[in-house]
Amino acid sequence: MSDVHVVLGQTAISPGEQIAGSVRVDGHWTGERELEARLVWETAGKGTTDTSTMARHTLSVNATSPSARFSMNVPMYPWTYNGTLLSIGWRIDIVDAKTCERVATADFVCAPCARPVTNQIGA
Amino acid sequence: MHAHSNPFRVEALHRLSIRVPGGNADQLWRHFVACRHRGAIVGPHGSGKSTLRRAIELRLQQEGTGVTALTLTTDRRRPPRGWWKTVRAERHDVLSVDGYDLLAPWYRLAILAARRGRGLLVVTHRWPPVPVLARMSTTTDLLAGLVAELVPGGVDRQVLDALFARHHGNIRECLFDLYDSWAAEPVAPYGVGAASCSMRARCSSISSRGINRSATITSAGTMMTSSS
Repeated sequence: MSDVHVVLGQTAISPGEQIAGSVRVDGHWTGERELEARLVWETAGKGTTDTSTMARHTLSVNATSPSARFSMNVPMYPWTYNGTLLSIGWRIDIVDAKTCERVATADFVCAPCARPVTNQIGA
Repeated sequence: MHAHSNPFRVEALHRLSIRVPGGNADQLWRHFVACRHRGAIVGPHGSGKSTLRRAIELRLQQEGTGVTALTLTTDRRRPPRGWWKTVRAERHDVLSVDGYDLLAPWYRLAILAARRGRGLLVVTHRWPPVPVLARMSTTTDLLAGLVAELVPGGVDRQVLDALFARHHGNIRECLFDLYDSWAAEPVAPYGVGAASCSMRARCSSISSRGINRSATITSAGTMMTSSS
Protein backbone atom coordinates (compact mmCIF):
# COMPACT_ATOMS: atom_id res chain seq x y z
CA MET A 1 0.00 0.00 0.00
CA SER A 2 1.47 3.37 -0.95
CA ASP A 3 0.40 6.99 -1.05
CA VAL A 4 1.60 9.39 -3.70
CA HIS A 5 2.05 13.05 -2.80
CA VAL A 6 2.87 15.91 -5.12
CA VAL A 7 4.24 19.24 -3.91
CA LEU A 8 4.64 22.24 -6.21
CA GLY A 9 7.40 24.78 -5.84
CA GLN A 10 4.94 27.58 -6.59
CA THR A 11 1.16 27.62 -6.49
CA ALA A 12 0.93 30.66 -8.77
CA ILE A 13 3.07 31.50 -11.80
CA SER A 14 2.96 33.85 -14.77
CA PRO A 15 2.29 32.47 -18.27
CA GLY A 16 5.40 31.13 -19.99
CA GLU A 17 7.19 30.37 -16.73
CA GLN A 18 8.31 27.00 -15.50
CA ILE A 19 6.40 24.98 -12.93
CA ALA A 20 8.50 22.69 -10.77
CA GLY A 21 7.67 20.25 -8.04
CA SER A 22 8.36 16.89 -6.52
CA VAL A 23 6.59 13.58 -6.10
CA ARG A 24 7.01 11.32 -3.09
CA VAL A 25 5.66 7.81 -2.65
CA ASP A 26 5.05 6.95 1.00
CA GLY A 27 4.18 3.64 2.63
CA HIS A 28 5.42 0.09 2.37
CA TRP A 29 6.16 -0.96 -1.16
CA THR A 30 8.90 -2.66 -3.14
CA GLY A 31 10.29 -2.61 -6.65
CA GLU A 32 10.20 0.24 -9.08
CA ARG A 33 7.27 2.47 -9.91
CA GLU A 34 6.80 4.42 -13.11
CA LEU A 35 4.85 7.63 -12.77
CA GLU A 36 4.08 10.44 -15.15
CA ALA A 37 3.62 14.10 -14.26
CA ARG A 38 1.16 15.77 -16.61
CA LEU A 39 0.64 19.47 -17.07
CA VAL A 40 -3.10 19.84 -17.63
CA TRP A 41 -5.64 22.61 -18.06
CA GLU A 42 -9.35 21.95 -17.76
CA THR A 43 -12.56 23.90 -18.03
CA ALA A 44 -15.43 23.60 -15.58
CA GLY A 45 -18.90 25.04 -15.73
CA LYS A 46 -22.30 24.70 -17.28
CA GLY A 47 -21.09 23.40 -20.63
CA THR A 48 -19.10 20.41 -21.73
CA THR A 49 -15.76 20.01 -19.99
CA ASP A 50 -12.71 20.65 -22.15
CA THR A 51 -9.30 19.41 -21.12
CA SER A 52 -5.82 19.30 -22.60
CA THR A 53 -2.48 17.83 -21.53
CA MET A 54 0.24 20.32 -22.46
CA ALA A 55 3.36 18.47 -21.26
CA ARG A 56 4.44 15.17 -19.74
CA HIS A 57 7.40 14.19 -17.60
CA THR A 58 8.21 10.56 -16.84
CA LEU A 59 9.31 9.83 -13.29
CA SER A 60 10.84 6.70 -11.89
CA VAL A 61 10.85 6.00 -8.16
CA ASN A 62 11.78 3.02 -6.03
CA ALA A 63 11.74 2.09 -2.35
CA THR A 64 15.25 3.42 -1.73
CA SER A 65 14.64 6.61 -3.66
CA PRO A 66 10.93 7.27 -3.19
CA SER A 67 10.86 10.83 -4.47
CA ALA A 68 11.54 12.50 -7.81
CA ARG A 69 11.55 16.04 -9.13
CA PHE A 70 10.00 17.43 -12.28
CA SER A 71 9.74 20.74 -14.09
CA MET A 72 7.71 21.74 -17.13
CA ASN A 73 7.27 24.88 -19.16
CA VAL A 74 3.79 26.33 -18.91
CA PRO A 75 2.51 27.84 -22.19
CA MET A 76 1.36 31.43 -22.54
CA TYR A 77 -2.32 30.46 -22.78
CA PRO A 78 -4.90 29.77 -21.47
CA TRP A 79 -4.80 31.75 -18.26
CA THR A 80 -6.48 30.63 -15.08
CA TYR A 81 -9.92 32.13 -15.27
CA ASN A 82 -12.74 32.19 -12.75
CA GLY A 83 -16.08 33.06 -14.30
CA THR A 84 -19.59 32.13 -13.35
CA LEU A 85 -20.38 30.21 -16.53
CA LEU A 86 -16.86 28.93 -17.11
CA SER A 87 -13.66 28.43 -15.15
CA ILE A 88 -10.27 27.40 -16.51
CA GLY A 89 -7.91 25.74 -14.11
CA TRP A 90 -4.34 24.43 -14.36
CA ARG A 91 -3.03 21.46 -12.44
CA ILE A 92 -0.31 18.85 -12.28
CA ASP A 93 -1.62 15.31 -12.43
CA ILE A 94 0.52 12.40 -11.31
CA VAL A 95 -0.53 9.32 -13.24
CA ASP A 96 0.51 5.72 -12.70
CA ALA A 97 2.18 4.80 -16.00
CA LYS A 98 0.97 1.19 -15.78
CA THR A 99 -2.69 1.73 -14.97
CA CYS A 100 -3.06 5.27 -16.38
CA GLU A 101 -4.87 6.05 -13.13
CA ARG A 102 -4.50 9.50 -11.59
CA VAL A 103 -2.90 9.02 -8.19
CA ALA A 104 -2.26 12.62 -7.11
CA THR A 105 -3.01 16.11 -8.27
CA ALA A 106 -2.08 19.68 -7.39
CA ASP A 107 -3.73 22.86 -8.67
CA PHE A 108 -1.89 26.04 -9.50
CA VAL A 109 -2.67 29.42 -10.96
CA CYS A 110 -1.25 30.49 -14.33
CA ALA A 111 -2.07 34.12 -15.04
CA PRO A 112 -0.40 37.53 -15.22
CA CYS A 113 0.34 38.88 -11.74
CA ALA A 114 -0.12 35.27 -10.58
CA ARG A 115 -3.80 35.95 -9.86
CA PRO A 116 -6.72 34.26 -11.61
CA VAL A 117 -8.53 36.40 -14.14
CA THR A 118 -12.16 36.99 -13.15
CA ASN A 119 -15.17 38.66 -14.67
CA GLN A 120 -15.76 40.69 -11.51
CA ILE A 121 -14.71 44.31 -11.50
CA GLY A 122 -12.24 44.90 -8.71
CA ALA A 123 -11.96 41.21 -7.86
CA MET B 1 -19.94 31.85 -7.50
CA HIS B 2 -17.15 30.64 -9.75
CA ALA B 3 -17.89 27.82 -12.13
CA HIS B 4 -15.33 25.45 -10.62
CA SER B 5 -17.04 25.76 -7.21
CA ASN B 6 -20.57 25.37 -8.54
CA PRO B 7 -21.92 22.02 -7.34
CA PHE B 8 -24.05 21.77 -10.50
CA ARG B 9 -21.14 22.08 -12.98
CA VAL B 10 -21.24 19.51 -15.77
CA GLU B 11 -18.20 17.63 -14.49
CA ALA B 12 -19.99 17.03 -11.17
CA LEU B 13 -23.17 15.96 -12.98
CA HIS B 14 -21.18 13.35 -14.90
CA ARG B 15 -20.00 11.85 -11.61
CA LEU B 16 -23.56 11.25 -10.38
CA SER B 17 -24.42 7.61 -9.83
CA ILE B 18 -26.45 5.99 -12.59
CA ARG B 19 -30.12 5.36 -11.82
CA VAL B 20 -31.76 2.57 -13.78
CA PRO B 21 -35.54 2.36 -13.49
CA GLY B 22 -36.68 -0.95 -11.97
CA GLY B 23 -33.21 -2.38 -11.55
CA ASN B 24 -29.55 -1.58 -11.40
CA ALA B 25 -26.74 -0.97 -13.86
CA ASP B 26 -25.48 -4.57 -13.66
CA GLN B 27 -28.89 -6.02 -14.50
CA LEU B 28 -29.18 -3.65 -17.43
CA TRP B 29 -25.72 -4.61 -18.63
CA ARG B 30 -26.56 -8.34 -18.46
CA HIS B 31 -29.74 -7.69 -20.43
CA PHE B 32 -27.75 -5.77 -23.05
CA VAL B 33 -25.20 -8.58 -23.38
CA ALA B 34 -27.98 -11.21 -23.55
CA CYS B 35 -29.50 -9.22 -26.43
CA ARG B 36 -26.11 -9.40 -28.23
CA HIS B 37 -25.38 -5.73 -27.65
CA ARG B 38 -28.66 -4.57 -29.12
CA GLY B 39 -30.99 -2.35 -27.13
CA ALA B 40 -32.81 0.94 -26.85
CA ILE B 41 -33.03 3.51 -24.09
CA VAL B 42 -36.37 5.27 -24.27
CA GLY B 43 -37.66 8.27 -22.36
CA PRO B 44 -38.58 11.93 -22.36
CA HIS B 45 -36.19 14.90 -22.56
CA GLY B 46 -33.83 15.28 -19.61
CA SER B 47 -34.54 11.88 -18.10
CA GLY B 48 -30.96 10.58 -18.17
CA LYS B 49 -31.01 8.60 -21.43
CA SER B 50 -27.75 10.02 -22.73
CA THR B 51 -26.10 9.63 -19.33
CA LEU B 52 -27.03 5.96 -19.32
CA ARG B 53 -25.81 5.65 -22.90
CA ARG B 54 -22.43 7.14 -21.91
CA ALA B 55 -22.15 4.64 -19.06
CA ILE B 56 -22.86 1.72 -21.42
CA GLU B 57 -20.36 3.02 -23.98
CA LEU B 58 -17.72 3.32 -21.27
CA ARG B 59 -18.36 -0.24 -20.12
CA LEU B 60 -18.14 -1.48 -23.72
CA GLN B 61 -14.80 0.27 -24.17
CA GLN B 62 -13.50 -1.09 -20.87
CA GLU B 63 -14.33 -4.59 -22.08
CA GLY B 64 -12.50 -4.00 -25.36
CA THR B 65 -15.56 -3.59 -27.59
CA GLY B 66 -15.35 -0.90 -30.24
CA VAL B 67 -18.03 1.79 -30.21
CA THR B 68 -18.98 4.21 -32.94
CA ALA B 69 -21.10 7.02 -31.56
CA LEU B 70 -23.45 9.27 -33.44
CA THR B 71 -25.31 12.10 -31.73
CA LEU B 72 -28.18 13.80 -33.49
CA THR B 73 -29.77 17.00 -32.27
CA THR B 74 -32.70 19.05 -33.48
CA ASP B 75 -30.10 21.29 -35.18
CA ARG B 76 -28.28 18.37 -36.75
CA ARG B 77 -30.64 15.67 -37.88
CA ARG B 78 -28.44 14.19 -40.59
CA PRO B 79 -25.35 12.07 -40.03
CA PRO B 80 -22.06 13.69 -41.06
CA ARG B 81 -20.69 13.05 -44.53
CA GLY B 82 -18.82 9.77 -44.83
CA TRP B 83 -20.51 8.36 -41.78
CA TRP B 84 -22.35 5.73 -43.79
CA LYS B 85 -19.15 3.77 -44.46
CA THR B 86 -18.50 3.73 -40.73
CA VAL B 87 -21.94 2.31 -39.98
CA ARG B 88 -21.33 -0.58 -42.33
CA ALA B 89 -17.71 -1.21 -41.39
CA GLU B 90 -17.23 -4.67 -39.93
CA ARG B 91 -14.64 -3.64 -37.34
CA HIS B 92 -17.08 -1.56 -35.28
CA ASP B 93 -18.79 -3.82 -32.81
CA VAL B 94 -21.48 -1.48 -31.51
CA LEU B 95 -23.06 1.50 -33.21
CA SER B 96 -24.49 3.93 -30.67
CA VAL B 97 -27.07 6.41 -31.95
CA ASP B 98 -28.38 9.19 -29.72
CA GLY B 99 -31.46 10.91 -31.16
CA TYR B 100 -32.53 8.00 -33.38
CA ASP B 101 -36.07 9.38 -33.72
CA LEU B 102 -34.65 12.61 -35.19
CA LEU B 103 -33.34 10.77 -38.22
CA ALA B 104 -35.39 10.68 -41.39
CA PRO B 105 -37.22 7.35 -41.94
CA TRP B 106 -34.83 6.42 -44.75
CA TYR B 107 -31.80 6.73 -42.43
CA ARG B 108 -33.52 4.71 -39.71
CA LEU B 109 -34.31 1.85 -42.09
CA ALA B 110 -30.81 1.97 -43.56
CA ILE B 111 -29.23 1.75 -40.11
CA LEU B 112 -31.41 -1.22 -39.17
CA ALA B 113 -30.50 -3.00 -42.40
CA ALA B 114 -26.77 -2.28 -41.99
CA ARG B 115 -26.71 -3.35 -38.36
CA ARG B 116 -28.81 -6.50 -38.67
CA GLY B 117 -27.47 -9.00 -36.16
CA ARG B 118 -24.78 -6.58 -35.04
CA GLY B 119 -24.40 -4.29 -32.05
CA LEU B 120 -26.77 -1.35 -31.97
CA LEU B 121 -27.49 0.93 -29.03
CA VAL B 122 -30.25 3.45 -29.63
CA VAL B 123 -31.34 6.43 -27.56
CA THR B 124 -34.76 7.65 -28.60
CA HIS B 125 -37.93 9.31 -27.39
CA ARG B 126 -40.09 6.88 -29.36
CA TRP B 127 -40.08 4.11 -31.98
CA PRO B 128 -37.44 1.85 -30.39
CA PRO B 129 -36.26 -0.44 -33.22
CA VAL B 130 -34.55 -2.94 -30.91
CA PRO B 131 -35.46 -4.44 -27.49
CA VAL B 132 -35.99 -1.76 -24.83
CA LEU B 133 -33.19 -1.85 -22.26
CA ALA B 134 -34.54 0.92 -20.05
CA ARG B 135 -37.61 3.09 -20.14
CA MET B 136 -36.57 6.26 -18.35
CA SER B 137 -38.92 8.44 -16.37
CA THR B 138 -38.49 11.33 -13.98
CA THR B 139 -39.94 12.14 -10.57
CA THR B 140 -39.28 14.80 -7.99
CA ASP B 141 -37.82 12.04 -5.80
CA LEU B 142 -35.26 11.35 -8.51
CA LEU B 143 -34.41 15.04 -8.75
CA ALA B 144 -34.13 15.30 -4.95
CA GLY B 145 -31.84 12.26 -4.86
CA LEU B 146 -29.52 13.69 -7.51
CA VAL B 147 -29.42 17.11 -5.85
CA ALA B 148 -28.65 15.51 -2.48
CA GLU B 149 -25.61 13.86 -4.10
CA LEU B 150 -24.38 17.23 -5.31
CA VAL B 151 -25.24 19.47 -2.36
CA PRO B 152 -24.74 18.14 1.16
CA GLY B 153 -28.06 18.60 2.93
CA GLY B 154 -29.92 18.88 -0.35
CA VAL B 155 -32.25 21.65 -1.47
CA ASP B 156 -35.68 22.40 -0.04
CA ARG B 157 -38.26 20.05 -1.51
CA GLN B 158 -40.68 22.85 -2.38
CA VAL B 159 -38.04 24.54 -4.51
CA LEU B 160 -37.38 21.27 -6.31
CA ASP B 161 -41.11 20.62 -6.81
CA ALA B 162 -41.45 24.08 -8.35
CA LEU B 163 -38.47 23.53 -10.63
CA PHE B 164 -39.70 20.11 -11.67
CA ALA B 165 -43.13 21.50 -12.56
CA ARG B 166 -41.66 24.46 -14.40
CA HIS B 167 -39.46 22.28 -16.58
CA HIS B 168 -42.16 19.65 -17.12
CA GLY B 169 -40.07 16.92 -15.50
CA ASN B 170 -36.91 17.67 -17.49
CA ILE B 171 -34.26 17.00 -14.87
CA ARG B 172 -31.40 18.29 -17.02
CA GLU B 173 -33.09 21.68 -17.24
CA CYS B 174 -33.77 21.63 -13.48
CA LEU B 175 -30.06 21.05 -12.82
CA PHE B 176 -29.08 23.83 -15.25
CA ASP B 177 -31.50 26.13 -13.46
CA LEU B 178 -29.90 25.25 -10.13
CA TYR B 179 -26.49 25.96 -11.67
CA ASP B 180 -27.69 29.45 -12.56
CA SER B 181 -29.06 29.99 -9.04
CA TRP B 182 -25.69 29.04 -7.55
CA ALA B 183 -23.78 31.07 -10.16
CA ALA B 184 -25.67 34.18 -9.08
CA GLU B 185 -23.96 33.96 -5.69
CA PRO B 186 -21.34 36.50 -4.61
CA VAL B 187 -17.82 35.67 -5.68
CA ALA B 188 -16.03 33.27 -3.39
CA PRO B 189 -12.30 33.63 -2.85
CA TYR B 190 -10.23 31.45 -5.19
CA GLY B 191 -9.97 27.94 -3.88
CA VAL B 192 -12.82 28.33 -1.42
CA GLY B 193 -15.52 25.78 -2.07
CA ALA B 194 -19.24 26.32 -2.20
CA ALA B 195 -19.92 24.75 1.15
CA SER B 196 -17.40 26.79 3.07
CA CYS B 197 -18.35 30.30 2.10
CA SER B 198 -21.30 32.28 3.28
CA MET B 199 -23.87 32.71 0.56
CA ARG B 200 -27.29 34.16 0.06
CA ALA B 201 -29.38 33.71 -3.02
CA ARG B 202 -32.82 34.60 -4.07
CA CYS B 203 -34.47 32.33 -6.56
CA SER B 204 -36.05 35.20 -8.41
CA SER B 205 -36.59 33.05 -11.47
CA ILE B 206 -38.79 30.75 -9.42
CA SER B 207 -40.70 33.43 -7.57
CA SER B 208 -41.28 35.37 -10.77
CA ARG B 209 -43.41 32.53 -11.97
CA GLY B 210 -45.89 32.98 -9.16
CA ILE B 211 -44.45 30.71 -6.54
CA ASN B 212 -43.49 33.77 -4.53
CA ARG B 213 -40.85 32.16 -2.42
CA SER B 214 -37.46 33.38 -1.40
CA ALA B 215 -34.65 30.96 -0.97
CA THR B 216 -31.60 31.35 1.22
CA ILE B 217 -28.56 29.21 0.89
CA THR B 218 -26.91 28.62 4.20
CA SER B 219 -23.21 28.18 4.84
CA ALA B 220 -23.73 24.44 4.68
CA GLY B 221 -24.96 24.81 1.14
CA THR B 222 -28.56 23.94 2.01
CA MET B 223 -31.30 25.92 0.39
CA MET B 224 -34.09 26.91 2.77
CA THR B 225 -37.26 28.57 1.62
CA SER B 226 -39.87 30.76 3.16
CA SER B 227 -43.22 31.28 1.50
CA SER B 228 -44.97 34.58 1.64
